[in-house]
Amino acid sequence: MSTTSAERLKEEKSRLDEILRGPWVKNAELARKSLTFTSDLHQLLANDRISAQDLKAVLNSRDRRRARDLWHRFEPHWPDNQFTVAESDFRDSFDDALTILQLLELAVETGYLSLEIVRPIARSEIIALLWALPARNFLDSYDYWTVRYIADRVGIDLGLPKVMPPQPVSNGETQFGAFLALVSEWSVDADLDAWLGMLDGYVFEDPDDEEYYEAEAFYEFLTTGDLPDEANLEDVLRYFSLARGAFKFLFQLHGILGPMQESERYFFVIFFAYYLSKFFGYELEQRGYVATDDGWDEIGDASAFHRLLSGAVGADLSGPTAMTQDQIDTASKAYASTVRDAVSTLRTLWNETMIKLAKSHSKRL
Amino acid sequence: MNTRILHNHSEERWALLKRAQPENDRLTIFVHGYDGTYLGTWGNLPQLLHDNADEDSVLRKWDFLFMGYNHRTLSTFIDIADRIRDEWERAENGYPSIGRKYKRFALVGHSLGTLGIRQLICASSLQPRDMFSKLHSVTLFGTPMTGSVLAWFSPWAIGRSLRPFSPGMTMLHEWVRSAHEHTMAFHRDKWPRIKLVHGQADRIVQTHARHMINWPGDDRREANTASGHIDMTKPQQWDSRLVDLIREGCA
Repeated sequence: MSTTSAERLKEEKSRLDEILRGPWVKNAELARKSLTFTSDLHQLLANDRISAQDLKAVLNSRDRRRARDLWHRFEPHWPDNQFTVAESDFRDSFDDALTILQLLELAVETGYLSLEIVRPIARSEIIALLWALPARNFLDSYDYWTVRYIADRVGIDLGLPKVMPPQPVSNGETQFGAFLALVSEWSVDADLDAWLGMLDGYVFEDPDDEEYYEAEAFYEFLTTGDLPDEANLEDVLRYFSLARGAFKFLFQLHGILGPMQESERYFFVIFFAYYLSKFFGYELEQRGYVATDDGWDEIGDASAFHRLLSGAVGADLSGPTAMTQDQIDTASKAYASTVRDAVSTLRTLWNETMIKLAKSHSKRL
Repeated sequence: MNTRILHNHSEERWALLKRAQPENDRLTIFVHGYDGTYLGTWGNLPQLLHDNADEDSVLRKWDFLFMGYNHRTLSTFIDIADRIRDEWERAENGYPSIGRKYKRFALVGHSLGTLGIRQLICASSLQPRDMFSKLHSVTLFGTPMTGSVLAWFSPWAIGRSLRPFSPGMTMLHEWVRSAHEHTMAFHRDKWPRIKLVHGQADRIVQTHARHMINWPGDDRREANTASGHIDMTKPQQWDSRLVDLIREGCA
């Protein structure tokens, strides 16, 4: 082996280790523990290919019962399924557990890691997390395309409609590195967590006001700068946190996806397919993505930022760093324009991705 | 033959793109801006350098380190300068994670990162030993000349320093002026070459004020690109203005 090959292998091992100990690993512990099985599923790893029937056949009676008990935990949260706090924690943890598989797939797609080095760990992770049918159906509900791709790549049939994993490229490894940095940062960012939760439909309720719908109130805040009449300090802090999360979501996705070549950005856009579909107001249905009226892409109006800024810096409007009305105007216009640029680029990428997904997959046929 | 390997350390927010054979002893350190990430800020540049630097008569002699920081935890520009010095000293001393010793350095910054670089240049107490004699060049993309109006939206401590004409900006400007005057008086040849790159579509930093506000010691022959603030550090192809500017800094 040449020096370069040996150094490359060493680097790949180090890269794999880093993915396997990222911040998502700790968050995934709960789901991993809850999904512990007693069947001899590991015997399947000796097979080159593993079918959904193999997964089912090897389960002992205890795990079959457990799989049946897991149905509710893995149901989609729409149209109005309710989950206890413990169930919601489990679902969040399961999302983080799937992040590892998603990252492994993206790493292979972009040439960051070779399939050879990923294969053993990916197979073992898939068995550990997806041995129960309800867990596999969760992938279908929540657009986990990349998990389905990696399963196909490593010879595991999940019993879901066939997908065609994209051909890996050899020159996307630094893009993946940048992406990994972003995902690592996002996984510990409270503002983004709040915003992504809102996109996902997790909102605060007001026990004193049945009419209050937080997503609508926040949308109003973003587009007009108006807070609800009864907003208290806690609400204001929450809205500003959500706003920071929303704009970080836009700017950072725009920054990382915008400059990518068309051939490579598809891999990364589908990682965010679920959240981008919500942002642009799409739902995944039997016939593919269908537009709804619930998008967020109208945010970015300068007058709203003007009001937000006037309120946010009200306490600072005197003294040596005073902000004049002209400066507020300039800042609002600049911010609005930056937001609109980001939304416009992401819309183009999302449209392009929906078309590719529609061509490549026979969703739920 | 391309022998470049990207050594990526996402947990520690840095990546080193180095040539395996022969080993280089020159290092360009890239410093991102507010809300940037150590690789993401530079778009395709790391990949383009990976694929093409070995064939380039200038860039083949250089390795590239992309360093990062968390802007939410910064108090002042000094915190960024400290991070740059740490990376510099690790590279100069050949720490195991770097794998070799570097003798010559170029600094490239974007936006807030450029202020960290300015801070390092003007504060001798923060610098690696004998820094100026080893500093090949400085290239600053989208440097806030007076601050950034968007900093009013930032809830973090560093955001306050980034506001236009903030005390932090004013103090840094005066600090640079003093250091420049001192250096020119006593060590005339030691002030580094500082190249500014402005984006003509940049709405985030106040580039319109740049002709009125002079940072002492900057090369007055600034470069202008047609790009915006975010795009200016993200080249689409190897034959691009950005790569030319990086090459110029390494020549």
